[in-house]
Amino acid sequence: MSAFFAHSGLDSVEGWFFYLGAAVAVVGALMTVLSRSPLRGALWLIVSLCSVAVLYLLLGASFVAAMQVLVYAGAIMVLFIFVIMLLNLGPDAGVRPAYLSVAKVLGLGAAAYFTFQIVTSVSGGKAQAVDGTVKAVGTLLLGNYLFAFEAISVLLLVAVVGAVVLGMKRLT
Amino acid sequence: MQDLVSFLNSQLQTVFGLSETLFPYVAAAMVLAIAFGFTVFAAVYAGVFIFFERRIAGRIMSRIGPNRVGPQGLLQFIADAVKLIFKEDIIPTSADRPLFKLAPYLMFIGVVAGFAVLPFSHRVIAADLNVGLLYVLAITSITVVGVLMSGWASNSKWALFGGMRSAAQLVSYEIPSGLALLPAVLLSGSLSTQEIIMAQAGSPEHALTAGGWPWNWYIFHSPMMFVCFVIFFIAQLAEGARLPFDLPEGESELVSGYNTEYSGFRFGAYFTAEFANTWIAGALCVIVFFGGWQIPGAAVPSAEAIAASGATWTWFGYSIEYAGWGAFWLEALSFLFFIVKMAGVVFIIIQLRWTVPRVRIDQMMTICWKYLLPLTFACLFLILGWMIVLPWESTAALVVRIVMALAGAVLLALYAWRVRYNIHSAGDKVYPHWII
Amino acid sequence: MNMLQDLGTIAPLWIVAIAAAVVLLLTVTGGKSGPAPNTGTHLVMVSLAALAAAAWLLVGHDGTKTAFSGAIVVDGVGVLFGLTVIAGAFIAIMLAAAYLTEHGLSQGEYFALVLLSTVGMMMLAMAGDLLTLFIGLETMSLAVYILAGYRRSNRKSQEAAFKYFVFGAFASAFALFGMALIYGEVGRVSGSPSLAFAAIGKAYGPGEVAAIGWIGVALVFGGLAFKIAAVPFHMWAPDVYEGAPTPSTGFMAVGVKAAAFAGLCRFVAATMVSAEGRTETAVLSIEIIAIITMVVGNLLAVRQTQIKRMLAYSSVAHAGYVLLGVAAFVANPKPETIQAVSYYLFGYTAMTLGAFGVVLAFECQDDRRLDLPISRLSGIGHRYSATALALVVFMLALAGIPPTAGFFGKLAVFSAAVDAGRITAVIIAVLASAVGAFYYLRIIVVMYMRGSDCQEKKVNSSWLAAGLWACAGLTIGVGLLPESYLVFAKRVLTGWLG
Repeated sequence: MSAFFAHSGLDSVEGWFFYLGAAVAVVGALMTVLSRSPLRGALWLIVSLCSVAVLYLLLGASFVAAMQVLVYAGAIMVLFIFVIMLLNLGPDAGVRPAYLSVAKVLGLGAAAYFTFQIVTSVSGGKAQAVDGTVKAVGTLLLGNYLFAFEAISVLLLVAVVGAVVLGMKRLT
Repeated sequence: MQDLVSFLNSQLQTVFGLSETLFPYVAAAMVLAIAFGFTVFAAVYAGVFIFFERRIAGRIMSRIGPNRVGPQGLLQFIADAVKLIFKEDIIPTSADRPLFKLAPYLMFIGVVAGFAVLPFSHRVIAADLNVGLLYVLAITSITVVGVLMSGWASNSKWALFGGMRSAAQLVSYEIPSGLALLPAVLLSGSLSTQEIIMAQAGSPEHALTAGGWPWNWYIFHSPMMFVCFVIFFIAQLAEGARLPFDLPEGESELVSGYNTEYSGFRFGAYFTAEFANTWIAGALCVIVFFGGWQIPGAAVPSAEAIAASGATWTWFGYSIEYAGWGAFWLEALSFLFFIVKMAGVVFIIIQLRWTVPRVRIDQMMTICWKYLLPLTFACLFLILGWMIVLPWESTAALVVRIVMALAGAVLLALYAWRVRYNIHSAGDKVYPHWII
Repeated sequence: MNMLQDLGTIAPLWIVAIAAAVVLLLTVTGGKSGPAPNTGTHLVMVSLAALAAAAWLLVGHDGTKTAFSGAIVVDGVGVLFGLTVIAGAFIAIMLAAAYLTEHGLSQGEYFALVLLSTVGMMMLAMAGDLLTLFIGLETMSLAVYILAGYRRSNRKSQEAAFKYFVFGAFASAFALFGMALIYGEVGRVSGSPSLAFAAIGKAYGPGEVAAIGWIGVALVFGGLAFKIAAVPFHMWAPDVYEGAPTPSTGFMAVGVKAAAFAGLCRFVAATMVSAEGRTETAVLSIEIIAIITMVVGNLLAVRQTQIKRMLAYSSVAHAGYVLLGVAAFVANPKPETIQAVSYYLFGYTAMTLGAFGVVLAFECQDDRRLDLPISRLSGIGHRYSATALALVVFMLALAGIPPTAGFFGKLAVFSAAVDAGRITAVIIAVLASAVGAFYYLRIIVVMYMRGSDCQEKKVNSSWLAAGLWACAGLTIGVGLLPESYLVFAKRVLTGWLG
C-alpha cells in the first residue's frame, strides 16, 4: 500500500494537489467540449486552463503559471466570452449534424487509445521541479530559444497587420 | 522567515514539539486560516471604507453622512450588512441559475486572493512569491470573468451591457497598468513585492539615505516615473470600475450594470469585492511607487544576516534586534506607515468619485489605447535611458530624487490648500474652521 | 561576436522581414496618390529588391551553417526550398501589383503580408527543430489566411479566408499535439526531452520509440499534409483557391506547398529515414497517401468547369507526385531524391503561378464571383496570341510534356521512385498524369478551336506581362537546361544527410 502511495506520488501534499489539478483540468476540458451552451463551454475552458496553471506551479514554474492565468483566463478567454455574448449564442447555437455521433465514437476511441498509450508508456517517478523564476525563464528565452523568441515577433506582426487589414473601416 | 506559514510552522515545531510528518496538514490548515483571515479582513476593510466613502461624499456635498449607528456612524456598515443578509435572495426565473449563483463568489475570490502577496511589513506577508506582482495582476483579472458571468447569467439587457463594457474596459486597461509597473520591476530587478519595496532605499550606512524617505520612493525616481504612477493610478481606477470609469454600472443608463438583478447576500458580495479592490489598487500604488512599509531611516537587515541570526535593524544609530520585541514594534510602525500611505491613495480615489463626471465609452477606449498606452511605452524607454545615465546609487540621481520629492511636497501642499479653499468657499458649517 | 555570425547566417530572413516593415512604413507615410490607396511602384520595388537580395545570398551559400543554437540550419534543403519560395513570392508580387491596382485594393499591406509569409516559409525550410518549424508554419499560414480574405467586401473571399483559417487552425493544433508527444517520447528514450531534429533522429533511430511517439509523427505529418493539400486533408483547397484573390491563390498554391514540403523533408529525415524496422511501414503509408492524392486530384479536376477550381485539384494531384518523391526519399535516403523533389517544386512554382497569372488577366471583374469559367477562354488564342501562348506553355508543363520543367520534374521524381524500388506506385502515377494531360490539354483546345470571336477583356499591366514572361521563361528555361539547376542543387546538397 505504501509502495503504491510512493510510486503514484500520493505520499506528499504535492502529489494530492497534482491529481486534483489534473482531474479538474481533464473534467474542465471534457465539459468544454460537452457543454451545450457555448458560454458554459468557454467558462469550463477557463477552469481547465487555471488547473493547468496549478500544475505549472507544482512544477516550480511560477512565472509560467502566473502568465497562464493572466493571459488565458484574464485576457484571451474574456475576449472569447465577449464575442459569444456579442453574437448572443444561446444553447442551441450551431446545427448538430447527424455525423456528430460518429465523431463522438471516433473521439472516444481516440481518447481511450491515447490514455492507454500514455498510461503504459509513461513510467512512474516524480517530475523534476524546474527553476521557473523570471530570471531562469528569461535566460532560456534570450539564450537557447532566442531565435524562436524573436521569430514570434514576426508572427505577431503578421497578426497585427492582418487584424488591421481585415478590421479597417475603409480598405478600398 | 518571510513566509508566514513556514514561520508559524517552525514556531509550532519548536514551541509545541509538533512532529514533522504533520507539517503538510498543519500547513494546509494554516493556509485555510489565512484565507479566512483575509476574507474577513477584506470584508471589514470594505465596511470601514464604505463608511469613509459615505462620510467624505457627505462632506463634499455639504451634508453630514451616516452618523447614527455607533460612534459617528462607524457601525453603519454592520447594520447595512445585516440588512443585506436578511433580504430575500431573488434569482430571476429566466436566469442561468448555477452561473448566477457562482458569479459573485468568483469576483470575491479574485479580489481576496490578491491580498496574499501584499506585504504589510517586513514579516507580515502571506506569501512572498517571486512573481508577486504578476500574481496580483493575474488573480485580479479573474474578477472580470465573474463580472461577465453575472452579466450573462442574469439574462437582462442591463446586466449584459454592463458585463460587456466591463470586459472591454478591464482587458484594455490591464495593458497600461501592467506596463506602468514595469519600470519599477526593472529598477528593482524583481517581481517580488517585498524586494520591490526593499529596493526603494538608499545606502544603509546613513540614516538620511536608508529606508523609506520620500526621495527613495520610485515615484520620485524621475519625471517619467511620476507619469507612470499617474497612468497606473488611472488604469487602476478603470480596472476597479471606479468613477470616472464606472461605465459597467453607469446608473444613468444601465440601472446598476452587471449586478442589476442581484439582491441580498450576493449583492453584498459584489459590493464588498468592489470596495476591497480599492485596497489592492491603493496597496499596489504604495508598494510600487511610495516605498511600501519602509520606515524613514530604518535600514532593513540583509537576507544573509537574517539567515545567519543575530541580525539587527539600524534606525538613527540604534540597533534593534531582529528577533526581539523591539522589531515587533518597529514592524507595527511600518504597518502604520503602510496604512497611512494607502489611506491617502484611497482618499484620492474616493474624492475623485465625487469630483469628476463619468467618461463616455468611446472616450474610455481612446484614453487607454491612444494616450495611456503610447505614453507608457515612451516612459518605459525613457526610464531605461535614465537608468543608464543616472544609476540609482549615484549622487546625481539622489539629488534629482530629492528635487523631485520637494516638487511632490509642493504639489501636495497645493492640493491640500485647494481642498481647504473649496470647503471654505462652499460655506461648510459641519466642523469649526480650525479642524480643516 | 557569435551573435553577429548567427545574424549573418540568417540574413535572408531578416532582410525580407525588414523589407516588410519598410513597406508598411512607406504605406503609412505615403500620400493618397495613385489609382488605389497605398499603391505605388516604390512599394513593389522595395519588396522585389529585398527578395532578390535574399535570393542572391542563398545562391552564394556554401556548406551547412547552423545559427542560434541549432534553431536554424542553412543547408542544401534550406537553400533550394528557400529559393523556390522566394521565386514564388517574387512573381506573386508582380502579379499582385497588376491585380490590386485593377481592383482598387491597397498594395502596401498586401506586399508586407506576402513578405512576412515568405519569412515564415524560409523559417520552415531552414528549421533545425520542431519549434522553429511550428513558428514558421504559423507565420506563413496566418499571413496567407489574411491574403485569402484580402477582398473583404467579397463574400467568396471572406468564405475562403474563414474556411482556410478554421481548418488551418485545426491542422496546426494537431501538429502541435504531435510535437508534444514527440518531445515527451524523445525525453523518455534519450533521457532529455528535445525538439531538435538531431536529437529526434537519435531517439527514433534505434527503434525504441513506443507507439505514442509514432502517433506524434503521424499527427505532425497530418498537419503538414494539410498545408500541401494531400488527400484526406484537401477538402479546403477548391473553395479557398476559388474564393481567394487570384494572386493569393497562386502564392498559396506554390509557396505554401513548397515550404510545407521542405518541412516535411526535414521531418521525415529526422523521424522515419533512420528508424530501424519502421521504414517500410512509413514508406508504404506515405505512398498510399501519395497515390490517393494524385488519383483523387486528377479525377476531380476533370469534372471542373471553373478554371481556378480545376487548378486547385491539379495542385492536389501535383502534391501527390511530390509525395511520391518523399516516399522514395524515405525508402532510399539519397540527396538526389531531395534534388528531384526540389526541382519539381521549382518548376511547379513557375508554371502554376503563370497559369494563375493568365487567369488573373481574363478574370471577370464583377464582384459576385472570383472565378473564370473555362468556356470563357474560347477564342482568346486568336485575339491575345502572346498570353494564350504563355498559357499553352504552362498547361503543357503542368501536363508534363517535354521540353518543359514539368516533364523533367516528373521524370526526376519518378526515376527516383523507381530507384527506390517503388515500381507499382510509379505506374499508377504515370497513369494518373495521363488523366491529368486530358484536362490541361482541353484548355488549349478551348482557347484555339472553339470559335474565334473573343469578347473577353484583358488586364493591361506591365507588371502582369513581366510576371508572365518570367514564369514562361522559367518554365521553359529550367526545362531546357535542367543540368544547370541540378549542378547547383548538387553543390549545395553536398554533405547533406552526413
